[in-house]
Amino acid sequence: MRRTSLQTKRELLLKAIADILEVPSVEDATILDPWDSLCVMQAVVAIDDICGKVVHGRALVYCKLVQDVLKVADEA
Amino acid sequence: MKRHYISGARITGVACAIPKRIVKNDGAHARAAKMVGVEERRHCDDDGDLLCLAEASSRRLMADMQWSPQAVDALVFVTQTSPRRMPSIACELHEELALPHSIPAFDLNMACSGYCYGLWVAASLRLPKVLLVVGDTISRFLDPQDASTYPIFGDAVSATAIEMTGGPGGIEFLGGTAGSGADSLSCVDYLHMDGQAVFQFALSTVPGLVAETTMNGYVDWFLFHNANKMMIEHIAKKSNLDMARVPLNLARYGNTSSASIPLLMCDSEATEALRTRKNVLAMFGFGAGYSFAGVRTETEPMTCSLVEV
Repeated sequence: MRRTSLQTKRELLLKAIADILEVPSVEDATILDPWDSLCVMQAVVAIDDICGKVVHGRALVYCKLVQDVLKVADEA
Repeated sequence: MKRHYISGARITGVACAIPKRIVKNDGAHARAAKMVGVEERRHCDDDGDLLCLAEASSRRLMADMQWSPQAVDALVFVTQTSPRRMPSIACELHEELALPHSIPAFDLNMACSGYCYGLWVAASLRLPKVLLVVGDTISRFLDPQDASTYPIFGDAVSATAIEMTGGPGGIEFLGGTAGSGADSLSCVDYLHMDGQAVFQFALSTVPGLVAETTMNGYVDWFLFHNANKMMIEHIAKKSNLDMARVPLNLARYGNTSSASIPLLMCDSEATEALRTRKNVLAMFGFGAGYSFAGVRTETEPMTCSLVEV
């Protein structure tokens, strides 16, 4: 499988988070609202899809900004 | 994972019993229902219904199979929701079905992986005809205020005929355990589920279980414990499975614990194929414990029935 570049991964994650929030697009500083357990579950799936890592939803529950989600995905 | 092959054992029929009472997911639970994929589920009315559902599914199966009570060589009952701590509910069902005194009847305490474990144990007995009863009335343990469980779980009980045919084929079992998850899905007074922890366990563990269960050849139907639509679709995608061969019936029945796999056999896209032709089935059970198991087996055209009680 072709390795996804860091830039592409970030773009894919931003697109996935926008889809979860049901908005056309997001920036790093976008506030996660609403951000409930179902959003978290979708984010876990998106991170696994894009980064190939299964993160624990607990790490995402308290994220406030899109940037926080990107950090969790990056550190996983 | 431990792998065990029981040659000559075969599933020859299955019947499921569900309560008549339909509980719909709307209002406050609509969003959760949409994501998890549960539109409605069946709930029993009282404590005695586990035995009623077990008796109904067993009687239907025995009628379909033309088994007299004297023909049954053993009864295995897999459940975690028996109304009484003792005796084994298998003994009560044994009496209701008027099975012979000369046969063993016992319970296995397993949840969502229970169908695979039940098949393994029942087939391992190597008796000509074993009646395997699997299911729960989990609604008795649901807190209506708990959005992580109440909209998701439903009641159902299955009965499966396991025969030692002596012919080709058999039942291949793989099982594993991760007891560190014991607190994530448990029940004292009410069912408690740490959904994020269970989700992480499933996504981390089940793709490997799928790979190991299916490594020995072609599979017609991939029967996943129907826990969560998003979870199953993601695992299927990770495992490169064709979703047309991954039946789902969560929308109608919710998560029916150990009965979810036989319920797929009785009411899903796979049912007609099971009734009319040979199939190779792969089954994947995972949940409380954490416990996980897979089964790969071949079936001839078989009876698959659904009854409402």
